Amino acid sequence: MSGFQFPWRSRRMIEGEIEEEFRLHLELRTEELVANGASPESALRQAQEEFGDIDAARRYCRGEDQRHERRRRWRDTSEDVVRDLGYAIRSLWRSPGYTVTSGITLALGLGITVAVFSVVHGILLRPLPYPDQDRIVTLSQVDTRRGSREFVSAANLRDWHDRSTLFSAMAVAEPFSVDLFGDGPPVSLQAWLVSEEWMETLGLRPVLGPGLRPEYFLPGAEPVVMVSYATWLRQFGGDSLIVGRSLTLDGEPVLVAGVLPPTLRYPSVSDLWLPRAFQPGDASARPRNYLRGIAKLRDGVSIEQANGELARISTVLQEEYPRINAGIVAEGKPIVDELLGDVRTDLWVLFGAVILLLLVAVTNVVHLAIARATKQGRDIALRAALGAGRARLIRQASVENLLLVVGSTVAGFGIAHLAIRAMVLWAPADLPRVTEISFDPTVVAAGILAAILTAMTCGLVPAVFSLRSSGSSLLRATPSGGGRRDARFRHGLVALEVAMAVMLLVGAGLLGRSFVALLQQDLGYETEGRLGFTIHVWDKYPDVAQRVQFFRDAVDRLATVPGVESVGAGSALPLSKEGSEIRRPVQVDDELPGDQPAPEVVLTYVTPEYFGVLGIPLQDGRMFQRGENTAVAIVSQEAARQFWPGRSPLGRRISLIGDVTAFTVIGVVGDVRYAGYDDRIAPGLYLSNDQVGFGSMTFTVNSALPTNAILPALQEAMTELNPLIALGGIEEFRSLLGDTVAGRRYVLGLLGGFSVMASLLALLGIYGILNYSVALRTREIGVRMALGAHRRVVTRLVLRQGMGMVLSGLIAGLLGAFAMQRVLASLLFGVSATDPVTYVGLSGLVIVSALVAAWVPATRAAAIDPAITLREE
Amino acid sequence: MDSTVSLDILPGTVDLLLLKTLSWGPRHGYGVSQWIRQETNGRLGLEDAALYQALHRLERQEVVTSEWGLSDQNRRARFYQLTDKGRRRLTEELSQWHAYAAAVGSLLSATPCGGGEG
Repeated sequence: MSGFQFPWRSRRMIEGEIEEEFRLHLELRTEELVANGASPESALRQAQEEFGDIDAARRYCRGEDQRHERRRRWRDTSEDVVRDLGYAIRSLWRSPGYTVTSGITLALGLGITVAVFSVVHGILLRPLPYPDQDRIVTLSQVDTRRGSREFVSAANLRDWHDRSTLFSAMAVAEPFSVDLFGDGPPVSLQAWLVSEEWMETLGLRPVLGPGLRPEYFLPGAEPVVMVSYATWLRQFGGDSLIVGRSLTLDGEPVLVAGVLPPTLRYPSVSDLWLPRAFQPGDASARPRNYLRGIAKLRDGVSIEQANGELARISTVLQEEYPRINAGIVAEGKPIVDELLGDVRTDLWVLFGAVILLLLVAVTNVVHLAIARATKQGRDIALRAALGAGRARLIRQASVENLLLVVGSTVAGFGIAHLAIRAMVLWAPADLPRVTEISFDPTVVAAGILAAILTAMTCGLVPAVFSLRSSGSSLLRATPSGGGRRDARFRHGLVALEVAMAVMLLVGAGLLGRSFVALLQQDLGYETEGRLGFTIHVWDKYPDVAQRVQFFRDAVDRLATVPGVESVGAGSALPLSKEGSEIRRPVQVDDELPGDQPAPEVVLTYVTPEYFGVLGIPLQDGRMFQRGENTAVAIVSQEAARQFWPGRSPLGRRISLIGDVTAFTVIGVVGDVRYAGYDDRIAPGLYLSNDQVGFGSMTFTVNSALPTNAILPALQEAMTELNPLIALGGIEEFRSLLGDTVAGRRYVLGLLGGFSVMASLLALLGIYGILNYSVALRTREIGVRMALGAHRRVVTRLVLRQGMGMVLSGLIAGLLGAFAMQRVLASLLFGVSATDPVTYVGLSGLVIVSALVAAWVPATRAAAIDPAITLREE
Repeated sequence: MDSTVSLDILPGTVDLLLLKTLSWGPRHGYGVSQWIRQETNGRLGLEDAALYQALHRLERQEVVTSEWGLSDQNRRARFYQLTDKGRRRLTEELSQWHAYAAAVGSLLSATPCGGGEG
């Protein structure tokens, strides 16, 4: 094709040309006939007759011309594209360093962004599997005097249910555990006892069977059970005939009423779901608030309206039950808040961080592309001077970058795919909805959108920039590196990179320091080699004395298992999710509580060995003894400090409110952080289980053997005592402790990784731009040195240039981090969001590493030989 | 002129005629029409409409290109010109035409022979 192109013709132009062509023909023919002696009228008529059907000719020619035009356009465009692509490929191929660096930077940036977005999308953005999730609320009892939010009691919920009008359904679930008897040894299963409207509230239907019909909740109804989806697959092999079968639960036959969908995960994934009717005992057990309450708002009812109604009902209940319900107000909260809660901040912080990382990556690539474009400036200026249009030059530069971004996007999706798998694999166990994270179309669409924005930025900014500076000046002998304005722009980009990297570093640094501070907290107990399991014997030993005897025998028997160093048991263990944490208000000595609410303690029933196995130290007094037969109690240091400040608690008395027994304090033990490092220390009260005979005990075994090695022997020992007892809820304390910090470790690891990557990119940016500017200024430096400038001066010149960018970026980054402190504060522990150590330390680190990055170009500048440089020019 | 014998033109012949006309150099549509009329004394019943349709069709097939220029009388006119492809097509079609004409001609001038007995 020739270089010159006709402009493309529009439909109107085509029609106009045909019209003109035909008119000319008729005119010329008429003139000719007139010249031959015809009258003008007859000449025109003859010309028209000779022409024939002019309208048909018009239509036909127009059709042909348009087809031709379309083909020409398509060919021109595709030729241009092929030419631009070829040019781009050759051009990228000629500078492999640039191509590889930019490609990897973009691929990583995009890949990681897509991965984090997929996590955010899977967990936060996608709706929950419950229909009308906006109308589902979780209910709690807020104790307005203590300011604490608690679970609900069956009696209260029943009153809210019966007296409210704004809810279409309301239900409770009670944690439960049963042993399933089958062919082998009994299997301990987790269960929830749910009231009639539970499934209706969540909007879930069974996948098999009729489900929990209303008649199953009537008194004396046939006992039925619903099987969870996972248990159905695992325990019953997905048997489609399971409905109507009879299972033996805790020795009783129970009919299977159906299989529940896998989406049922609230309050937790559980093995079995059983109907829970309102029991006569519930009414008298109003203080027992350990049930989960949920409700569904009627259509169009706002949560504020509903909470208003609940508050009014609660006021009435406070009057009806002044002792038990004092200060208790029911409150609903969207179920999304309950399910996602704290994770939201973590994930949004991570998402913000990854966006910063992507911006750093893009900035770096833009800046590399500009440096490269300036190097090619003469080439571009030449082509511009030879008549290549601006649009075409922009297009060529853009195609090159587009190619780079397309390649990086493809690689980025590969990286994202791996990163998602890694993030899911290493996700903390309590990360909600982690199974719902996937590489779904929305994620792909978001990734492509990010890639398009990236392509536009990486393509257009350098193209526009190079055009602006590709004036005639570049055609002169030597490029001097663009104008001052351009240099400032490039330096600004590097400073921006530094600023964003510093923000990430500060975030990661604060989280890191929080993590260290957290691990330095004293738990108050040992976890290494400690193993826990839970046993419920209420129904097997209905008698208190029997239960006391059983647990004594069990501790003794288990202690003889080879490999076991010590054994103890308690109604709850720190960190354990299996035990029953009991919080009870107490009365100290004989003081009558005034308006102050009764203080609350964490109450644990223990065997005498409990403290020894867990390594909880005795501070004062004595431990429990075997067969303790007077009403005695051990308190924690915090309880001693709160209840008997400045006095010895020994010999003092403490009683549970609602209970007549007053216990005499015989010992003080160390404080315990029940839920892990970041738990607040609560006052603890320990009672001897020999006096209480609590039937659900969590055993803890201290053994150097691995869990799998010792577990069979423990089960065997237990079977000797009672063949119907299954060891349930096996827990390793070390991993439980790990779980408590897993979320923090996860966020810290990711944020740390992002900030290191961003910092490396920023350092690469500093290095690149200084190197480049030294290369451009070789002649200037040569002249300076020829005029007597010392090498040190030259080095300093380059370093100063580098440090200028770093310092402005650093200051901007620190200010940015400072501005974000409110977001971060909620993730920190023991460290202020404005922690000076972090800020100063990281500033130092950034300056030192920037100096290192600047050192190479600086020494290169100092090594310039003025003689050679000047001769070359 | 009075003794016009209208000859219906054979399909495909128009294209060949146009290619031939243009082989001597660029011409506008009217020029082509004029030339054909003069050469055949107007006996060929070729409507100008058909001529222009053929020109535009040939342009679409890229055997001719068109360009606007000035005619002898200084009027803006659309000039058609053969492309390389058009030149090749002309050679091809000419030889086909001659072979066809020769074959038909020899048949038409033949005398019956005794092929019937076989």
